[in-house]
Amino acid sequence: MTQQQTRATAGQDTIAAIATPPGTSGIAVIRVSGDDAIDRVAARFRGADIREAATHTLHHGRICDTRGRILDEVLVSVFREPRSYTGENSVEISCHGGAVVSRRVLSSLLETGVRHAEPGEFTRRAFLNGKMDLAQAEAVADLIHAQSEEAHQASVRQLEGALSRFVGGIRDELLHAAGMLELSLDFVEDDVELLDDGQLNTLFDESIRRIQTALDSFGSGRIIRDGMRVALAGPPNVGKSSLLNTLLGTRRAIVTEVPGTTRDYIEEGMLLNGEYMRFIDTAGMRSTDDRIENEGIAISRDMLRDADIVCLIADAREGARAAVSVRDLALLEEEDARVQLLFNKADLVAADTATELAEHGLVISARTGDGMDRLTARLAELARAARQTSEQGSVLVTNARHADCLQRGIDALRDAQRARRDRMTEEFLAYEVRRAIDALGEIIGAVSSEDVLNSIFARFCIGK
Amino acid sequence: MADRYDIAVVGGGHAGIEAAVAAARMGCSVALITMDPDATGRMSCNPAIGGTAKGHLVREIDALGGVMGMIADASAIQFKMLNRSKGPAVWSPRSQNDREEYSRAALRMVRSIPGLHIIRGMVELLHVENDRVRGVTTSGGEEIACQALIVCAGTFLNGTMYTGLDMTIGGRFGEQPATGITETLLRYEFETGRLKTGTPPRVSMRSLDLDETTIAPGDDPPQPFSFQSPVPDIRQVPCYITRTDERTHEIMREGFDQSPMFTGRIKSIGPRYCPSIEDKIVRFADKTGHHLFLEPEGRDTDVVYVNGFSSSLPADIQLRALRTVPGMRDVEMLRPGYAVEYDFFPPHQLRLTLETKAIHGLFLAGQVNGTSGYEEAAAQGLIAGINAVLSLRGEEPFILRRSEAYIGVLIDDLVNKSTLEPYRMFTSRAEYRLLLRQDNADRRLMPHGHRLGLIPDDVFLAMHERERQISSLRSIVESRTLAPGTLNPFLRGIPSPPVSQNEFLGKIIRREGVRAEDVLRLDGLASDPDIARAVRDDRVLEQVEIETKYMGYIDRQHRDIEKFRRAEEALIPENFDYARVHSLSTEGREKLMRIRPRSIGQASRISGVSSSDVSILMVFLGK
Repeated sequence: MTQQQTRATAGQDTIAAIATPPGTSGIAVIRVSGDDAIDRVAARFRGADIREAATHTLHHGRICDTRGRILDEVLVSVFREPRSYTGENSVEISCHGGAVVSRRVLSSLLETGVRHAEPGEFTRRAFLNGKMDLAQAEAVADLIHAQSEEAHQASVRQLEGALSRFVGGIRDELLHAAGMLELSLDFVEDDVELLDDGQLNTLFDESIRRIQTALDSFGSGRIIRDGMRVALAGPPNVGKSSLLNTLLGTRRAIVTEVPGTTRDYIEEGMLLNGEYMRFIDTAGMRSTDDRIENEGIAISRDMLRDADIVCLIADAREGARAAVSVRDLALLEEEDARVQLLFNKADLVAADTATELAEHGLVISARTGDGMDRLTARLAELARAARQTSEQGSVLVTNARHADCLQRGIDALRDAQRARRDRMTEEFLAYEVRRAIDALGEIIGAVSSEDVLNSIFARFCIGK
Repeated sequence: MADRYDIAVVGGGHAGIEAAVAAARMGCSVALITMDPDATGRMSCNPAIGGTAKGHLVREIDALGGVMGMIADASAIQFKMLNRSKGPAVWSPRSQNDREEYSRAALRMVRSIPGLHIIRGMVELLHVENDRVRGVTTSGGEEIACQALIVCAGTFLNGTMYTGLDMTIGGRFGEQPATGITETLLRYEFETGRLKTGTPPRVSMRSLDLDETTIAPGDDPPQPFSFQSPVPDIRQVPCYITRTDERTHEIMREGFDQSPMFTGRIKSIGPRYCPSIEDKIVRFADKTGHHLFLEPEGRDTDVVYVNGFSSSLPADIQLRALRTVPGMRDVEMLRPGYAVEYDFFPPHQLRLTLETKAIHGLFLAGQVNGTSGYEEAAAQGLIAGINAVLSLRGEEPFILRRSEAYIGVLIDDLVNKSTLEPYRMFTSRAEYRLLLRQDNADRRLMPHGHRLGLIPDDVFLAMHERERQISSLRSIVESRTLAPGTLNPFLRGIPSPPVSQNEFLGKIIRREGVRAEDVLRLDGLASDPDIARAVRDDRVLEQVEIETKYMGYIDRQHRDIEKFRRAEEALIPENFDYARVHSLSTEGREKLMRIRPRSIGQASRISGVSSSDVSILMVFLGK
């Protein structure tokens, strides 16, 4: 029997995807995996004949399109099964960074009959071929999402079992309570000692409180993993895109003098004072009858609500009143601690006007770069504050699936409290407590269900 | 020339009776081989049937067409519904029975079945050819040929009884053990183990001072087990409750150095849930007393069973200890308690039909599979009997799911968890407890019983008619409203807050203290013919009330079952090659190869198979 036949994913089609994160980078990597991976790449590769290449070898050459035109100069790594990430024949093509080039190279491969991979499909195959277990697969998902050193540490802490111990502790107490409830049902005539109503009440309250602490950390856990979400909002043509470009140091968004150019939102990430920040450039906000533009404004409002930091930008020439009207249009509260007012185009107003505005917010000029130091310092400050709001607990939940389990645990316990208040008898309380136990059990792998599996693999980004 | 039967059943206990009766009723010729026909259905331990979860099993056996419920009804001296103060899901019927009458009723039942032959004898040898059962030889040299064999040997396989350091060979007080069957199966590489169980002393009723005890009467009116029995018209006999104290425990401790358990003579595992009194004294050392239930063993007998005092200490210690208990100062002990150790076959060696995986046509049921209790045994006997017939006919096996019946939970647990201690049923073992109630066992299972030919047409049709009425009444209750003018005077009487506008009947019935029956009798409803008829039928009303009051929970459990069903229907091919899946854990792969689960759902319940093993299987099978 050959290795080919014993491998779990033998006979499945060959898949490909861009494995590096989207955005500007020096190199983009395209990963191809499957029985025919090497042959398919060879069909578009001009250089050494990689069909005969040994495993773990590197080859220089060019990738062409269907008509033989050169798309990019690349380095190709060949991995033969089972010694690859997926356990299958694999090729990794390192091409020049930039969305256009890497997408063209990928398209060329897809034309040869390779299928575009689904999110997590490479890891799924690796998992199936025994290259990693489920816990490792989840850790991979978290590492993919990890954008900073702290995120890395959080995953490591989780792998070390801090969350498991925390959840396990609560689950054990609930198991004990469920056991006592069951005793009162199955040993009616024995004089067993039971939990009294007060103890149950305390247990439910206390468990909910503790789970909630862990759940609250999910916000900051997400920040650590995904980065800080910074939304830029304001009326059209106030200079949001210019500001973004200045911050990023490139001309990223389309900037024109026509109001309302940026209808879809643009997102761009960067490290700022060691903090990973994702800047979201939202559609310009103004009162309008344009249906499409109004939809854009509605989307913008949603994004502002979910953001960790909101930069409201007004035109310095229009004064402090403009900032208030922007805030109203964005439906933001005056006390909202996430919000920072910015007055852009300071280069177009008199010095005394700028001084006056400085009492209401930061005065900057995206065009001249004036005030940008103060802005970056202020952003770092806001980021720290956003993080601290919910980071007191010792456990940190960074994983959406875990957060979902915790939430369902709380929901079940609230149902248990309600049942207790309604004077439902023990078998109903036991039912709710068991739901809570099962929900928490999903975190530490004490139960398994299709949903658990699906949600794990759905979290992978394309290319992993 | 050997006698020839379709099916032979070894053992006339609770499992053997159900197996033999079901197989014969389904049209097979059946030989019931027993060492003593007069011991048919003997209650070797407590003189009671049912109790928490066990009562559910009896109702399910009855709804499938088994006979335990009818025999219990015919010989009961007391009926009680346990857990009345809780919700309907955990109500459990129990009867106290006349021990001798139970046996007689069982024998009458067995003798009344055409095609069922009782053969006196002890099976010593099993005949197996090409991994298929062919027949048996008894100790008297008689050969009996059969196509399927159901072994229900109870505690008799190499049974050994202990009282103190005295050891007697035997399966039950005054009865011989059975030898030979275990030895035959060992040749086929069956795994075998030893389990232990015990029974308390029997005392003389005349020697008790009942004034010092608390009386525990039966229910009035009593409710029978069988869906086919009329309301019992009997004079009920009460039980009595008393309690041990520190003096009792002190005397028991004197005998610990002569305990077959504590001295290590018995090494096997006993039921944690039904511990001996000496076990309780050691494990709950801080408790100064334990309840004892004095249960008369019949209407006209002097024998009383001391429930809660199971012991294998020396007889004189048992007697001295009992004499410290209120009401028992001058007690006369008719027979001491004893422990019995016996062979069992760890049940992972079975299919869900209770057929052994190694030998075709060989079924095991009852205590030989590691269970304790009459009801657990009877349930297995019934399932083994039914499946033996279906396999002879070459038809699809009859397997109840965990979501359908306690019997499904029982067998699924046995096969997948392969018990190491005597297995007893509890309501907490049933995930879908709120649906698997004793009151709806007929609605859940009679269609199966009827299809199998074990439930008569008229009984099934009556159930079917009730089903129709229940469903019609349920939709009326959730769609019809009544005006405040009708509702408020009624609500005032409950008392329950008044309504200000028309309100759905269902919402009113769901209120605390409101009974469906009373709502349906309100003005303006009684004229509806469906309602008028339903109000006359207590069983319809009971179902409508339960389904209305607990609608939220019932709906949720139905959704839980839907999820469960998907996992159960994700089938694993019979010859699936687990060795191919490299990523399975070593233990998980070994267990999966041993048990060969039918579905992903079953795989997930096998002890030793981790959730990540199950995930791997699901991904692998593309489920």
